[in-house]
Order: sequence, then C-alpha cells, then structure tokens
Amino acid sequence: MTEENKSSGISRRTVVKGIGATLGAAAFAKAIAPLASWAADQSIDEFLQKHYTELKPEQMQKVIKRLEEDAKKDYGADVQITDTKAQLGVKFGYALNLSICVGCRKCAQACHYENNHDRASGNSYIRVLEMKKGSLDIEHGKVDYKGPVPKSDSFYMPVQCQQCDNPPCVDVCPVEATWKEKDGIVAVDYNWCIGCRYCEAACPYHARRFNWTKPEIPKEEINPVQGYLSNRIRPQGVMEKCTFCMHKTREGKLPACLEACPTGSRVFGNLLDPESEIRWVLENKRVFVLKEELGTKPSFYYFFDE
Amino acid sequence: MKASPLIAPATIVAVAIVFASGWWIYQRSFASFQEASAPANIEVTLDKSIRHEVTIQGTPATPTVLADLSKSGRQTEVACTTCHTTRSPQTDQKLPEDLDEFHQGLKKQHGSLSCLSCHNADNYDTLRLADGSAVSFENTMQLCAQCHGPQFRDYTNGSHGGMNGYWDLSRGPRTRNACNVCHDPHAPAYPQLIPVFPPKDIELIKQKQGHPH
Amino acid sequence: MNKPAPENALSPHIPGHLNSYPRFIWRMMVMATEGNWLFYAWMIGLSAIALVGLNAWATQVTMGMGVTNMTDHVSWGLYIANFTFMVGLAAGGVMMVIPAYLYHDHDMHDVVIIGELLAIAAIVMCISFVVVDLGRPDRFWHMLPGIGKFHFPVSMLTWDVIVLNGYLLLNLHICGYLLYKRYRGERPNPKFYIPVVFLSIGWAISIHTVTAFLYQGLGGRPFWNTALLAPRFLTSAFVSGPAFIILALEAIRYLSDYKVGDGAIRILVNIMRVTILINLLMLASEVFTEFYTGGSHTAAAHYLYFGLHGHNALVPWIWSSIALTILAAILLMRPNVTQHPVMLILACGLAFAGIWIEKGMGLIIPGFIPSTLHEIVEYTPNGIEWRVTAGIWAAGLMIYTIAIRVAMPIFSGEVSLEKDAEKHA
Repeated sequence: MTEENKSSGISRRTVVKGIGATLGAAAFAKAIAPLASWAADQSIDEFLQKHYTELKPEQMQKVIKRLEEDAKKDYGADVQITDTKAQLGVKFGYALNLSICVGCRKCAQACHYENNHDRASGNSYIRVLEMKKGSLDIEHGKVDYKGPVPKSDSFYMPVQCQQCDNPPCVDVCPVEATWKEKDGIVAVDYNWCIGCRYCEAACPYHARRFNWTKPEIPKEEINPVQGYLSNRIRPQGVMEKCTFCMHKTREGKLPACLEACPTGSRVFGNLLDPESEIRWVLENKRVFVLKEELGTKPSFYYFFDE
Repeated sequence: MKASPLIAPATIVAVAIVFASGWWIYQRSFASFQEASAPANIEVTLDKSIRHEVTIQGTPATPTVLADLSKSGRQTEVACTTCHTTRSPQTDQKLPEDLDEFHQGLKKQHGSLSCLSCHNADNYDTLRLADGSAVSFENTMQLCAQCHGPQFRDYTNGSHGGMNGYWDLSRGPRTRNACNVCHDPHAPAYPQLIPVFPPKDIELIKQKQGHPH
Repeated sequence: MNKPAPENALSPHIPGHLNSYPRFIWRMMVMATEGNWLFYAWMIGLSAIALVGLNAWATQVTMGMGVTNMTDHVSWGLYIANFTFMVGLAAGGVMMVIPAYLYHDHDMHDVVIIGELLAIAAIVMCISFVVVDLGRPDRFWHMLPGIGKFHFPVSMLTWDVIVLNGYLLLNLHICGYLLYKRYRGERPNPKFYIPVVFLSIGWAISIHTVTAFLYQGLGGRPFWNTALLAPRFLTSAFVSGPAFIILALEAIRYLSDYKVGDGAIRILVNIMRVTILINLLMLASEVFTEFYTGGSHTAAAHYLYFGLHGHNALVPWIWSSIALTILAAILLMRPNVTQHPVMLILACGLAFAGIWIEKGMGLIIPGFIPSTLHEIVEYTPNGIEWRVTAGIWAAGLMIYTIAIRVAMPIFSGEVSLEKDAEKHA
C-alpha cells in the first residue's frame, strides 16, 4: 500500500519478489512430485479413448489389445478380453430362494475370484445378510456373522446389483459412464468413469464399489477369461459393479455366483423366454423385490418356499 | 422502469421455453422407464432348435459293503444281496440302533420312515417305491419325489439344487446335482456349515480408522 | 470476460480500451504481490499450507483414494462436506447484493463487492473440492459438452456444474466490469451490469438449491430425501455467508485504512438474526419428524444425534454444531451487538463454525451411516483429507485476500488510470 521510492526500493523489492517466486516454484514442483510416477503410468491413447458406445469395432480391437498388453505388463498375466454384445430377445433376470439359502457365502467368494477383485480388500459384489426370522427389514441384517450356519432363528439374504429397470445410478452419472444395456445389465465403462462416486451414493442396494487403489491380484490367480464391460482388471479410481457375469452369461453360461451355490437357491435366466426357469419362478412363486417403494424396478427377485 | 411493449411476447417465449425444456427433461429421464416396464412384448428370437443335455450327476450306484466273508482277514466288496438273499427281512425293526454288523453306527433322521420304506426287501440291490415296485439306485430321485413333491417340482423347474454350465441350453449343456449330493438319504436335513469368505472390509476399516467395536 | 464497453463520452485524456485494459490487468497483478509485512506473512503462510495440501492431493492421485478414510460405505467425506458448505458461502455472498441492488441501500453499495468477491473465491474452492474428490481427475474432460458426454439434464451433477460455473462467470463479470470502470474513472453503464446483478441474485439461490437436489433426490438415502433440504441449505447459507462477510469487513476495518460503515454490518446482522432463527426452526422441524415418527428410515438421524448400536462418532459434532448455532443466535439477538465488535466477531465465528459442522459432518456423513444395507461403518477424516482440505481453504483465502487487496484501492479511487498516468508522467 505504501508507495515505494523509485531509486533503490524497487530493485530491492524486485529481487525479493524474484527470490520468493523462485522458491515458490521450487516448492510447487516438490509438492506435485508424486504425480510424476502416476503420469508415467498413463498413456496418451488411454487418455484420449472415446466412450464405449462411440468406439468403432476396429478401435475397440486396438483398445482390447492395449488392455491385454497392460495386464501382461502390470500383472504378468496372459488374458483374453472380449466384448460380446447383448443378444436380441434376452433380458436377464435373477431370483433367489430365501428358504434354501444357507448363508455359506460361497457366492460372494466365487464372485471375488471370478471377477478379478482386489485381494487385499477381499472385495465382492455380493453381501450376504443374516436376518432374523420374523422381519424383512434389512435394518436387522448382519453381514459379519459367524458360523455354523444356517442358524435356526435366521434366514440369509444375499444382496448384489439388482439390475434395475429404473436405475438411480444411471440417472445420476454426470458423464454417462454407466448405462443400461439391451439385455438389462447396468454396465460401467471403466475407461470413461471419472470416479465422482455419485452413483455409489445413489444406489439403494450397496451394489456399487469404487477402486480405492489399483487392484492387487497374484498373477496365477487372475481369471484370464475377461469381458470389456465385465471382469477385466479395473483401473484405479473408477466405479465397478456386478454385471451378472456378463462375460459368461452373454455366452449362454450361468453366472459364477449361481454355479457356486451349493443349495440351488439361485435361479437365473431370460425374462423374455416364457419357458425359462426364471419365468417359472415369477409365475409360480410369490416373489418380491427389495425396496420396491423406491420405484427402481429391480430385475432381481426374492422368494420363499411356501 | 416503464412497462415495455415487449413484455407480452417475452412472457410467451419464456413460458414456451419452460414447457419445451420440461418436455425435454421428461423425455430424457422418465419416458425411458415406461419402456422398460413393458419388456415382455419383445419377440423372443432365440434359436430353440438345438437343445443340449442336462446331466444329473451324483446319483448313487448300487451300493456295496466291505466284508470279510471268508474270515481270511481280507475284506472284499460285496453286494447287499450277498447276505440279504439268505436272510429274511426283519420288518419290525425301525431304528438303526437295532441293526448289527455293517449297519452299526448308521444314523437315521428321516421322519418316521423305517428301513423298508425305501429299501426293497425283495431285492436289496434296488429300492422300493410306495406302490411296491422296484426302482434302481440310479433313479433314487423318483423315490424321493414321492414324498417331497414341492421340492421335486422346484427341482424340475430349475429352482432347487446346485447346477453348472449353461442357462441357455441351445448353446451348451448343464450339469445338475442329484438329491443325495446335498441330502444324506438317511439324514436328509442340510448340514450346518461354517461360512466362508467373511467380509474383510469391515475389519480393515476398523483397523485403519481405529474405531472401537 | 470484461469486454470493453462502448463509450458514451470519452474524455480526451483517457486512452482507449486496447491501451487501458492491459494496464488495468497489469496494475492488478502488481498490487496482488505488494503489501505490508503482515500481508506477506499471511500470504506466505497460506502458500505453505496450500502447497502441503497440493502435495497430499498428488499423493492421493498417485496412490489412489484408498489413502483417505473414505470407504464403499461412506463414499463421500470431508471433501464433499466442504464442497456443500462452500456452495452455501458462495450463495450467502448474495445477501450483500440483495440489499444493495434490490433495496438501493447506500451503505451496501460501497461494500457489495466484498460479497461478490467472496462468491468468486468460494466457487473456486467448491470446484477444487469436487476435483480432489474425483478418482480420475485426468478424465475431467469427459464432462465437457461437445467433446465429452454431458449427462444433462438427467444428472443433477451436470446442473450443478452449470450453475456453479455460471455463477462464477457472472460474478467475475460484475466485479471485473465495476473495477475496470472505476479504474478508468468512469461511471459504470447500468445496462452492462444491472441485468447481470439481478440474474446473479436468482442464480445464487439456484446454486444452493441444485446442490441440495444432488442429495435430496436420492431415494435410497432417507436422511437426505426430504423436501426441507433445499430450504435448509439456503437459510444456513444466509447465516454463514453474512457471518463471513462481517468477519471480512471487521478485518478490513482493523487491518487497513478503508472505512467500513456500520450500516452495512447492521443490515447483515439483521439478516442473520432472521436466518439463524429460521435455520434453528427448520432443524427442530427435521428432528421432530425423524424422532416422533420413528421407524428404520430414521436410523441415520438416531446415529447422528444419539449414536446407534454403540456407534457414536458424529454425536459430539452435531451437538457442538447446535450449541454453537444457539449461542450465536443468542449473541446476535442482543440489541447492541453491533456496538461490540468483539461480541459480534464471536457471534459470527460461532455461527460460521456451527454451520460448517452442520453442512459437513452433520449432513453429508450421516447420509451414509448406516449404509443402504444398514451396515454401520463409521468415518473420521484422516491426515491426507485434512491436509487437502486445509490446502484448498488456504488457496481460497489467498484468492479472497488478493481480490480484496486489489479491489479496495480501485473501488475507493486510491488507484486509478489517471493517477497511474500522472505517476508515470
């Protein structure tokens, strides 16, 4: 505020400012130094990659090649990534028989290995709730129950992505990184998601997970059969979710959680096929969906035997 | 400010904009889920000409027991009929505790059934249906289904019992478990087990953030 | 931004815009780096904190957000809490503008720019808090309409991006235009800023409403899913905004030679007297609905106010917030509060802190506890999060300090094109 005199004051002040600016710049460089190692890991192709729906087949081939090379480089694993599209006339549905689920959590475990989840955090798309008989209020659910199961006063409710027909997670995404596929699966483009986690806040079923770190998986445990929108190893800092094992189910196979279920409480199939098992369940059992009052219209149904 | 002659057209334009954007928002956000709520009208185009097989695995073979029949100290596998053709069945015996020889230690927790409800006294290498007809061990499920109708109905409709393979049988086969894979015929209640894969994240979070409980 | 306005009466000794606008910019940059020892110490201290925050953020980007204490259960934490609060502060700045322009209050006209500059600094902080919360800040361009995919109008976050950036541009325009005109020694042409001022008043309401809609539109989070959320956001913003401006005015009064009239402070106190009571009333209304009705939808409120199943990490926070707000309300209700600067500063400080806790730890975090599957996983911010947050606050305060440091001499006429020309001659 004070007016400096023109002779020596300016030069001294200028010198001090210069020193200050130099020190400041040095401190700034030091502060952002950790970014250097991160930036070295990013490729320009990855940075400029277009949205899934805008990739032409030949571009997709290039992307897949790059991802397979990355898996080799980062994890030492030879993986095959495919991008199978939704089949016409198929809409996936899932039903779960709460009367025969014993709460063994083998589905959650199978999910963990099938979908190349981070080993350190023990991630899985499925959470199994131990519920007291007499209430369907999940407030009375417990996830860290211990054995032996099933307990006589409890029933067990595995919860995963409900593949809603009116998915709140899709609505809230600011960049359309998540959307509903034609066969009903809510997919995520792991290379488009910006990691704002709005979808995680919006999902009423705790179905979405964030990659808080780069997934750690030993080379020999990596599942090499991978889908682009499904179980390929996810990058750090993006959302992921259950895709009903799209890499398997779009090939006509059953999802991993169903195959792991020892009791057969899980029923999977094509909702558009009147002769499918899932349609038999919907027509012959009294099914319900979770949090129906929210209007999310799940494709995942629960039922009890009579 | 003075009222400008532009007020009226400006208001009309503003109202038009509000309605247009309202319609646009409706189209983009809400119209989509009306479509989704009526998916059943879409024509199914699946090819059903090919149908792969569903194999039932784990059905029991005709049982045998290890016995030292020659008293030589060497045990050999022998069929049930080896002894049971020479002995008359004891129809009054209902409890496994009353049985001797190989049957000792057998636990039966299967309602009020007696041994001969299922085992065929006329031919112990087969089982016996309620109408008295024999059924092979390979076809045990017919026997179970006599009493466990709802379970058998659910099983045949794919909503009971573990399976592997393809949901789409036009593209591949499926393997299913027989009843006895999970249910011991003598004590069919599904056994209690220790759950695997406890959720690790909760413990990790507690450690990291140092929260009690 | 500040496009040269067509001239009505150009005095012969005033140069054209091509000449004066670069000089205006240059003069502001020079002023931004000049000051007394207190200014330098303040700025160096803030720079140091900002750099520590920058370093923490760089670590977070490199190692992944797992270095924070956020989890899949509590997936938004201190960053989004601060973001929410800062939106309120930005909107609160408008409480200077309404009396000045809507009611032609003369005391306000002289200091209205303090509120507009606060809005600028607060919006920059908001945007920073969103950016540090992103898992992939390198993909920020995915949101740009045209080259990316902008999920408008369905995603409320896209609305927020529009209103926040729009508000920033509006305020940059108003402040830049007014300062430039003052610098040239001309009367600002009402055509070029009055419509923008009125737009900015509506816009200020919109930024906090849209930000509330971000949360209140989520059906899966009953704690947020209440129609009262947006009105509560606004009232609390109109407490924290004026509180901060009073603190800034008092600081200017004590640390510089500029005269700050009592009139402006009196109006702001009167505004706070109303808004702080409405805020408490709305709080009471929320608490009544939650606890009188009961049921599992109120689990989050139970957790927040009293703890749930032995978990009570947020209980001290919310009760401190309520205590601070009530105390501030009592102090503000005293008729002579404007005559006692210490009491006034205390009241504003308490109100500011109370709202900060309420909008942050008291609103964002309990929305996630218990989780949608009713798991109780608690959250307390860790060192990285506090450092990044402190860094952004420091950067915001730097922006605000510089803005006021530059604006006050120009606004008071101490620095002008004419005086600069004389000096150089």
